[in-house]
Amino acid sequence: MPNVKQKIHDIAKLDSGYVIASLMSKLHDLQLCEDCYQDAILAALQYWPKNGVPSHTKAWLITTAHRKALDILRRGQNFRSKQDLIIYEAQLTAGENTLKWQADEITHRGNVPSPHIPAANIMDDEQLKLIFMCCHPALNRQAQIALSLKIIGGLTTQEIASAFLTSETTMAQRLVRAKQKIKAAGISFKLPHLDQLVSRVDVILSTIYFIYNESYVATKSDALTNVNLANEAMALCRNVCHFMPNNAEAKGLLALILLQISRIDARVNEAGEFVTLAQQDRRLWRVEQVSEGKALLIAALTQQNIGKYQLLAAINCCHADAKHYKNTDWPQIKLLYEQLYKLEPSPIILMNVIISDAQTNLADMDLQYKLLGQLVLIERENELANYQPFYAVKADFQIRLAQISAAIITLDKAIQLTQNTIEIAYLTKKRDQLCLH
Amino acid sequence: MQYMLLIYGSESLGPTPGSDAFTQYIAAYTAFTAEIKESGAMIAGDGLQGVATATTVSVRNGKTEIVDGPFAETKEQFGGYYLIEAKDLDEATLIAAKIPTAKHGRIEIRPVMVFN
Repeated sequence: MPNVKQKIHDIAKLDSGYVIASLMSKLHDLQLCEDCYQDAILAALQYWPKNGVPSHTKAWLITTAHRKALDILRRGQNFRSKQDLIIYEAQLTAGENTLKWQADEITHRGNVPSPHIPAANIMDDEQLKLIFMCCHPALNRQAQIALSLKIIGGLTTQEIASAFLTSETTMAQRLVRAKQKIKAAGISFKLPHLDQLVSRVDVILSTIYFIYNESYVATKSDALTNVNLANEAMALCRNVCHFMPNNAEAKGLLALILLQISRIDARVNEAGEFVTLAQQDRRLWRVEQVSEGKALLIAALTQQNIGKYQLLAAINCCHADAKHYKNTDWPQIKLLYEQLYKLEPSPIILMNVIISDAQTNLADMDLQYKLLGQLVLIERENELANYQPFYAVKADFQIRLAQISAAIITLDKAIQLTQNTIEIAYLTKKRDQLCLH
Repeated sequence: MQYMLLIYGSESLGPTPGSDAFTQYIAAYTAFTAEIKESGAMIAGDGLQGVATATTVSVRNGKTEIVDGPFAETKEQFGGYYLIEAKDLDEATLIAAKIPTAKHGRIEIRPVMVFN
């Protein structure tokens, strides 16, 4: 029954964060919890095609995983695991008797009576603890990403490896090292201390933003966007918004992702070529994602706690609001980028201030010339030296100012700097057209 | 869990001995040490003499080699430590952040290995 298998695969993803968080609240050992979860999924693959998918998949998986955990702890030889076992058994019997719903009993009966899974509000906290753990600042960025996708997103190691174009072995090692660090360094399964909360949430959001950015222009890829990865970033962000409803920046990030993803169908034409924002067929933008993004942004802004992601979402909102490219409110976009630059004075943001300033009056050649001068001034900045979009932008200025041979050299530089085949094709076509002039 | 807080600093970055800033720096250390003793977190702690006094020993092929100086010549040197008891890494981090040298140097947090 291939459709049941597919369904289990989907459930494995969907329930991962919930079930592992529930196990962690009792077992406090990420590797053990993850192993038990994997075992429970294997059991599901064995039983569900024969006996049907239970109505409460989370309860079934939690119960089965707890049984596996008991088996593993009982087999443990050393005193430490014996001690863990005693505490664990005491906890299980003292609380709601989770083990009452023996896994095979459930499978044989097909249907589960009301399941003993913790109340939703308690589980929100547990899942939040799991996200904080996966994005602990003592882990490096690669480890945070791998763990978040694996534990919360429920992706397989192979899926994560292919998304980041590394081998499965490399990704597996990265995950093992991350889990070892959590255990050895004593990273707890708990909500952070209040005075660390803001910076800890920042780490979570920047991890999600990193995953999303990686998907937006998939490096070294043949497709322009890695849709699966983008969806994972969106799902992770939805989780964070759900667990932290008062966090304006989490809403801002989700709004940003939605507003950008809404344009996904318009970014590549039927011939598989990259289409710029100016040339996109705006009827292809996904209306539901635009309106959800906008609503989220408005909700975030009313909280009056402005931040980077809300500003970026607001900029994308300006594009979403323009029926045609020529109607784009560039003065507003410029203001937003200026505000962003105040928060985060990076050369990439400064580049965007310059771009939006240029768009406010494309016919003013003095302005264009002045702005190209500003652009050249920041060229040597570290962050821009190998940043492909910078050279694509610089070439646009040179074309506007009829500096054609300079533009060709700049485009060559841009082509060298990207490994995405669709981007290479787009830039090469642009360059070749200039050569014909 | 037990954590070793390794204090790395540079003699040129910290306050100059004899200055008012140095007096305050020492007072801050005294206060910090008193605080973690009081809280029960402190197991041990010491400051070390400068790297000029360091000797590095190694044994290769049964032969003991003795070299003048620290193991590695770096900008920041290992200058002292606290051995503490903390619930988890977050708690150890909170304590480490209070060490006066954290303001100009760095504190490395290392969990102590447990053999069972």
